[in-house]
Amino acid sequence: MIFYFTSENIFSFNSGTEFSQAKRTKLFNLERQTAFYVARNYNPNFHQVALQMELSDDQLINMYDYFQEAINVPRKKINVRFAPFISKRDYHLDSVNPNYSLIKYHGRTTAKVNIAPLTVGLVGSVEYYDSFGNIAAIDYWDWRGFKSSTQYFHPNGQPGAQRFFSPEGKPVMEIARMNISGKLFPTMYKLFDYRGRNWRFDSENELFIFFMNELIAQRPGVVINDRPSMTDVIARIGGAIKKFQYLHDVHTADSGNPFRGEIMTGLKPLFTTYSSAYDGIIVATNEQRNDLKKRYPKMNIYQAPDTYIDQEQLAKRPKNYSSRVSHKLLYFGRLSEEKHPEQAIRAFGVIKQIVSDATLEFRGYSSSPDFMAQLKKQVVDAGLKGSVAFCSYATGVHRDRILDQAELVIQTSTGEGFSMSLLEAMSHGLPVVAYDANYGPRNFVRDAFNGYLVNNGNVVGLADNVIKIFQDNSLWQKLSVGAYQTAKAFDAKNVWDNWQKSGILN
Amino acid sequence: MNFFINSNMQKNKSGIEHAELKRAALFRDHHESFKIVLRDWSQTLHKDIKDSGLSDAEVINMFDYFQGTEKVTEKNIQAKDIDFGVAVDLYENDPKNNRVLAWQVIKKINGESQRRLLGRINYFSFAKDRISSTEMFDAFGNLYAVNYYDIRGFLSLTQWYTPDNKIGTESWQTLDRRSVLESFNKFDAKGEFKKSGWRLVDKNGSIYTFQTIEELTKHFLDSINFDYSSQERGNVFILDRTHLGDWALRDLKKPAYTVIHLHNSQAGNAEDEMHSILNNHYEYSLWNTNDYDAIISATSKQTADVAKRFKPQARLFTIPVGVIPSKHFQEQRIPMSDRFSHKIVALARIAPEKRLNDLVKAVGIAKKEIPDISLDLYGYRDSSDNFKAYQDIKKAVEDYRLADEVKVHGYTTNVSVIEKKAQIFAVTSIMEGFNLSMMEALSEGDVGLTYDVNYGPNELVVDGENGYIVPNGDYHALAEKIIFLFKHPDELQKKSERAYELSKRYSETKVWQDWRELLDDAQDKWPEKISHYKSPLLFGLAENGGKL
Repeated sequence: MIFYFTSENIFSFNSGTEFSQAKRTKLFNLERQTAFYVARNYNPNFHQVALQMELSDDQLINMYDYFQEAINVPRKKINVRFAPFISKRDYHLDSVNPNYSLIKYHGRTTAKVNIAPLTVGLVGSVEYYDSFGNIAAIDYWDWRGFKSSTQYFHPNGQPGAQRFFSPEGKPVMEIARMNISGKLFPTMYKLFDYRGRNWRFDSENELFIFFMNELIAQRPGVVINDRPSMTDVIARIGGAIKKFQYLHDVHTADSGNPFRGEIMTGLKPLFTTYSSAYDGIIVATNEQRNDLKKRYPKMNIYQAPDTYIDQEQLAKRPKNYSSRVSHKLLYFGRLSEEKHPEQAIRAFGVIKQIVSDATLEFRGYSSSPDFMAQLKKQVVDAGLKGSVAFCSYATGVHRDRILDQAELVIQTSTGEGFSMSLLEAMSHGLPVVAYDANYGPRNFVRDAFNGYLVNNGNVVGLADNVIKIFQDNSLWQKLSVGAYQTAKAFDAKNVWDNWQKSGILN
Repeated sequence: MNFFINSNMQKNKSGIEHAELKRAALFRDHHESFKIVLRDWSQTLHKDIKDSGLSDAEVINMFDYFQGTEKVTEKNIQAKDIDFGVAVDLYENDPKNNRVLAWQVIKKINGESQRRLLGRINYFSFAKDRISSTEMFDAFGNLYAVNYYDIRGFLSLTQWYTPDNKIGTESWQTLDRRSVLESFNKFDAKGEFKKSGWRLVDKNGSIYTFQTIEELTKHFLDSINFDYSSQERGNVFILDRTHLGDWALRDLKKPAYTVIHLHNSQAGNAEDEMHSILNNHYEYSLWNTNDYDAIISATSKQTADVAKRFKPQARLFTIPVGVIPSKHFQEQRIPMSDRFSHKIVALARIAPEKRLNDLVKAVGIAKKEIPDISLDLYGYRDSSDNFKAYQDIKKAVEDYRLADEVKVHGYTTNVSVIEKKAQIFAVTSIMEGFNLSMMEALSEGDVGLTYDVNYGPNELVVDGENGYIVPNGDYHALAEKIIFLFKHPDELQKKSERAYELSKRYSETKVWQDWRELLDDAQDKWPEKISHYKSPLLFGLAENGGKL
């Protein structure tokens, strides 16, 4: 049986949904199942960000890759200084800074080469200018070293037609962008010479449905959709052996009222229009499954874990107390309104009064620049500027180092489907102080074993528990061991067992 | 390779195209290789080439060159071959507009069906079975692109449309639809919607941007100059339309022998060749004459005038643009007695600068002495100023009561038959570049009469030998010569024979000798030119320090 896990994309900054989807892809392949991370959106850096998620090319199917005949393309590094399309007999290449170079003809800039993100000097995209100074065309280069698409522009600067190419340069697809009721949209997707003819679609989702049907016709399988925004599209795919929707989050923002609380707007179609299009809904915890079962008795609700902790991490024993930065508190996750990072700052203000050398580090991307500014202002107003740091989202060894250096992790979210970031922090031996929120933290945080839970909104309770741990090394040591043990229970073997017993794979 | 540079070879040809075709025939007959370089894009180019008697190999078009479509096997595509990417439910013939409409029929839930236009398939006006273009619609009723097809049956150009229905980006494509040449249309700083630039993916994958088509043309000329020259032999570029490459030829990357061909007077006022403002078309080339290798004029008078006024260092050649085929000289000569008695003809556009009303007046004056005189005029009627030239002729006809004597015909291709039956061929133009019709008329034994105007008529006619040259604008003098010739049949006959004789100045053999001289000069100069040239560096430039 083949498994297709579907979502929009892989990003530079991914949310838990992508992490979970990627983890599951890896877990299934680890357990000798054939599973693919399937993505709908166009992304010339797809294979770069996939690599950051430790996904290999044979675990990935991006729709555009599929039609571009570029699922498996060995990477070739196209250094801007040796790019074959820049004739340096005619043009100067001016390497302005690590982010871009300019192509100049007799001193006039004719094009700008944007360096691919997180690379040194590799071609990312090239903007070509016309004589009026407009961007006339942009060539997007795939991270693997081929020209992937050319974007043209309407006179007002909005994107117009776009052509996509195979690695050999053959045009395989075209998008037209025109008006619908006076507003610009992609209005036509055309495949050239796919299976011997052209195919026209009126939207990207129509194309995606066709694409999924093609995949399933070639290799029948089970579809698990990870993105609620794609619930309607996946519902329209025919031929899948089974279709599931994985819910990574709580189903209602009213976390104290799982039975009557208003269903999240994005999830409403799943429980109404499309409920019969799916063979079931998967959630991360038994608690949420039971709540949903009670609420929707006619629907099949399954439980299977959102993530697992890989063996490589578990093999490294957690760092001991002395190698960590003393009294460093970590907020590890997205900085968005529903996760209430402002309450973490308030708690920290209390902590700081007792533990004067305490520091707080935020790690994660923010939902908006405005929200970030608001948080920063709050820190300044509270006189905490020197002890609170806002740091960028980290991956890989950098991320590991951060988790190895902090002493405690704090979470202020009032609703979590699972809280993968907490579990990940615990695998590094970090005790947790968090709100007792549905569903994740309550599921694996045990008071005095691996951390403490306090009621939603109890900022002082958070602070008290942090202070308690900061002031008692032996307590920290005990909780750290407990945290690691909790994470260990989510190793690949146990999680796969859980999947097998879930009923989903039957 | 010898390149003749022009823009197009369309059906309605001007003197320049005729001159090039005659030159082409001459080169072909003498096994001297040549290519007519056509700069402009045209869907019907290869039909036009064929209709002009040229083979595909004798032409190189800039767009074909970059599209890789110089030689394409012809294919006739039908409406059914146009793949819209969805099934066409209904083809609707629209013969009035010379097109077929392709519809999708969508069944609605209420049972009604709705038609949605997929595209309009347009045919060439002259070939009702050949697709010329398809107008493509999206599902929301927007015309998002128009695809233009080459007459040989492939998609050559896609024009993407803007939401407000203007032509946005244009893309010329290879046979497998790769976009290799693009042009952009945008608003400039003043808000005017204009062509804003070009982008080329060259054959080796390099991407170039150009502000203007002139810059692109320069790149093209450089490219073919590289492709077709070797250490041993260089290319000859003969520029027949200066705007296509007068600056480019001064600045080619690799040497070549460059030639400006004057097809018209270098002076704005041809009668004041030493002082007049320069002919705007030639101004840039004349200022830069010394950057070219040679200047060709069709007459020795023009060559002399250019030499006298500009004292150029470029070599000057006189090469007639007309060529009389060798076999013509074996034809039977027709004595004046076997022609329409007292018949005068003129073949010229019915346009003000041809001053044909002067000729009518001269005939009017002569009629008093030669009662059976007649005049036939052949040519397109120029519509400018409400057909003023034609109105002037009509007025002169009325003034001199010549309704029976003067006939104004349309344009004719039956030239030699008309000229064989006439006795006098007359020219009353303000100025000329050469006047191929007069050359042909004289070669048919017509006696020439002309005003003394530059350049061509006053050299084609040798005063007192094969006709007479009278002062410019003096139609009384013109009448006098008509009367004299028609009253002295022996003189008329003698001059007709000289007309046949003097035509040998334009024989294939003679004109080829003139060309040979230029081609020899090009060859003589090549070793010197190439010796100063160093080919581009290749070693050490590749990523690993290797050769490019």
